[in-house]
Amino acid sequence: MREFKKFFHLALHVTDLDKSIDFYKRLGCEYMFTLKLDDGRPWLAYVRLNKDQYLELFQIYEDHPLTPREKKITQESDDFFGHLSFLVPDIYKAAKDWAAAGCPLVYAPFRPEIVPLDDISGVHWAAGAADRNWICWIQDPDGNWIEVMEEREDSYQKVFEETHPW
Amino acid sequence: MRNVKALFHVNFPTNNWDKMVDFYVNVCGFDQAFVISLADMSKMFGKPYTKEDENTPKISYIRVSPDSYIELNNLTPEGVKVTQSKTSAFHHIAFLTDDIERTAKRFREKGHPLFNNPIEKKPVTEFHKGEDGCLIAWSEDPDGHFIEIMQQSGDSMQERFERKNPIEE
Repeated sequence: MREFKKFFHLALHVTDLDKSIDFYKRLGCEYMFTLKLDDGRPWLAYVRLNKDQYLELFQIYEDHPLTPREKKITQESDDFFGHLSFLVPDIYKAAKDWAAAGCPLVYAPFRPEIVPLDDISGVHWAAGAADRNWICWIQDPDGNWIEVMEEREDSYQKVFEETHPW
Repeated sequence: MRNVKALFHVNFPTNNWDKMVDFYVNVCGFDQAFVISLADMSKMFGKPYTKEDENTPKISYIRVSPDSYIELNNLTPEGVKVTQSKTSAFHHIAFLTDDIERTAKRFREKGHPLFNNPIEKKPVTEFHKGEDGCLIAWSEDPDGHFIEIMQQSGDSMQERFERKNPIEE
């Protein structure tokens, strides 16, 4: 028997909870609920990515022991946390929908030139990665990089799932 | 159609390759899906590579649940140093278990006893419900990422939400 059923959630500390909730809603994810601190202020919010799979967004406060208090949030390429990734069924549709929602995809992070994907007619931007997926990137309001991936038929992940059914 | 289907992966750069692979595969019990070598990466970017690069792991995909992976990025071959930032926006990842007592036993036997929370880190023997109605305990991987272990109660806030809002495929 497997020890774990699911990758349940990923927790991020955010500087502006409303802004973060708004961002993930623009991507089409559902806002679920907010837990409050004893003084009534919002503590953390849940956003659904998939069935039984969520983002947990913690509001940063300087003055409450239960909350993160980081003053500065940076995301550098040599940080111990790399990035997160969302699986999409159709990367072109996501690019179009998200550009219309004010969240344009970009070619790649950690590069001197970040090229916005205004022209989604080209295929060059969704470069095949080493694992044979289509990829591009988006950044959340706190600067976390999110790799947006559409699996190709021969992607390593797809081949693994087919040969190792859950 | 939903644009986001799943949390596809979480990426951890590491200078601690063997221990990190061992933790996620041996302690947590996940499958290593595939490994991409340094040579594979060089080929992709049209860079030269050596025979040794063919045997040097660069990326490992470890399956947590269908379509959800931990992606480890081996920084050692390129000599990049990981600095653990106190200001990172990332805090933890959570794995869902159907029996937290069994998971606690497994982790204890593998030398990673679960603890009560990331601040106090006191060993736990009894499990209490968190604010959301799930039973909770904590672990930590070899690079210091906190891992929350959760068991749903049948009436957790997450389960109530799922019942009211089923996902349409």
